[in-house]
Amino acid sequence: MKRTSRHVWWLIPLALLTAIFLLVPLAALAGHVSWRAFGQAWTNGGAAALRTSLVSSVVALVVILVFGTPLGWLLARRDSAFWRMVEYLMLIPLLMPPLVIGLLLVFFYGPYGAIGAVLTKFGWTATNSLLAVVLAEIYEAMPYYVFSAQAAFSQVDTGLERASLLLGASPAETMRRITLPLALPGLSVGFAMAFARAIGAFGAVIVMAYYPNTLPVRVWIALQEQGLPAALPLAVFLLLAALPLPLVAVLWRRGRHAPRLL
Amino acid sequence: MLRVSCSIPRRFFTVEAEFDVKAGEVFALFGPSAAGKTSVLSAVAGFETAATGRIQVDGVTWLDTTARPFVYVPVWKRKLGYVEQAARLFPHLTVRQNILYGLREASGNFAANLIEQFGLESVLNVRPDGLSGGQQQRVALARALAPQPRLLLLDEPLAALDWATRRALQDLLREVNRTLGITIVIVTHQLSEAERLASRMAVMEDGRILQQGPTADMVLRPASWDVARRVGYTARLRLESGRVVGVHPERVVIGAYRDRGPVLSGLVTADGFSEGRRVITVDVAHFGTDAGGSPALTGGLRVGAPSGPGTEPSGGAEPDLSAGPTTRLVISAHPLDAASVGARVDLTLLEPPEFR
Repeated sequence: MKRTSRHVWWLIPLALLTAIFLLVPLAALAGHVSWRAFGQAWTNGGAAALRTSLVSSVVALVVILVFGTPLGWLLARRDSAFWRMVEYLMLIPLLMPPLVIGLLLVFFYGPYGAIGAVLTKFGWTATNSLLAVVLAEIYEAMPYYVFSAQAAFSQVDTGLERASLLLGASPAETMRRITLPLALPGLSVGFAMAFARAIGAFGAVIVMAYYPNTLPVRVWIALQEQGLPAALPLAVFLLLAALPLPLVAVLWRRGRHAPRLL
Repeated sequence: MLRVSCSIPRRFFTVEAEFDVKAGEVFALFGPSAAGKTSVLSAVAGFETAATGRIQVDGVTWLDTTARPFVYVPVWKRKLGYVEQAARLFPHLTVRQNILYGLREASGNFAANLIEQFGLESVLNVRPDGLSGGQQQRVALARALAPQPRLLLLDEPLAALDWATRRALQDLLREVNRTLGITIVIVTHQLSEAERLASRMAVMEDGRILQQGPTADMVLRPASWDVARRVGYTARLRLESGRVVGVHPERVVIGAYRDRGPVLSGLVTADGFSEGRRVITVDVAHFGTDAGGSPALTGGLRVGAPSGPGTEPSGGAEPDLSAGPTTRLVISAHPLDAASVGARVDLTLLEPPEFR
């Protein structure tokens, strides 16, 4: 091991340089944001935007969990041509630019769209509403969760599920006692990625719902109307809201399953 | 009592199995890899959704595709134990949680007795990745037995273990069968394991049961050459009388005992050990004897030397009965047998089976 390490010493500065390159923009926050700016941003729409972002992201994540988990499981466990086709089709929303997602959603959920017209009959609107924000966030975030869930379920040995069935546990009980606990580390990372993606969603959200402002939209408005100093504190709010959950999920998974480094 | 009569479609052939196992009996499905043994076990467990036919246990029908509507009892309602070569222990649970997994309510006494019988008291709070291979199989067996199943299916559960651990677990299985009276079906490709554990067995090849009956009969009275070569016969010899008999390395003794079987004469060409037992190689120049005891040439058979007694023949090729007058036999010998290299010896084939 040590002998191998000696031959790849030149990788170390390269790796450190990459890490610094990725992290150094964060230092700008410390140098350019004052406590007073935080206060002003908070009272000037920042608090409301944070609330909107958190509420919409939580609702979106509940929907993603409830509907995305079964889809991820079926993609992992079914090997028929139909489910392979579904898997390939799921790549489209994953790879589609968020702005394009937003445009398509407006056509579909807007007042003159197929679903939008039905919603209007019930007095709901899927543009410029919290529902619109939630929909946009679901579309941006769900593919990430579904593919993470698929990978997580694929790693669960089907032999263990068979063993559980043979011991008298029903399929539902096997899912609860074996499959989900073993897939949980992978699911939690997918969940965290989806959360980060949902709370940071901008392209689809701004097309679907300029109002109510989410934090990313609020950052963009501040940047447009007041410039960088006004946008930076809002960006800090966004970071503080978006980062802890994914970090905790990744650290928890690493602590449980990843091999120790060095 | 287990009654199986079913067909299971596979990619290259259909597995056909028909056998009965009495209550409390140990029955072995023996055969080479890809013979269809595991498919049969899997069908009994309920995983073969394409299986057709009937499977009954203690009068309860688990599968009957001839009935309308057809009967299929789901896997989790069959209440059977199943242990594979891989222990398949739940990695997120401790040994104790694994063993108690199948219990609906805490029927502690039976499980506690199992834990003691299997010697698992010291590892109850350990996760499976902290156990040795032998310990993992013990836990897998205890876990399968804890819900007190009516049937235990074993799919080469000891194949990956070292010799000593395998023997110890075989003893444990015998004890479990004796004390609990549980019906056991074991799949194995090791004849010694089948002989050690099972009172009856079926020899399978290419999805078919070639022969079934008492375990000893498979070696003493194989019904065909296909069965014979699976249970260790390494050569067929044509005798002077025209009879064709099988040679099993473990059923040849040095010396002429004409009341026990045909006697051959040969020259010892090698003397060594295999798996702790003495093994000699004998070139039989002529076989069969006339009334005066002098050799009489009646035919010959050249047989490639197997690696040791009891090993499977290298393939399914038919021996060439006209290849030449020299026959090379590798047989087990007693340590005190006078059979040094270069010596001429008489060999008696003990009541060899005849083939056409």
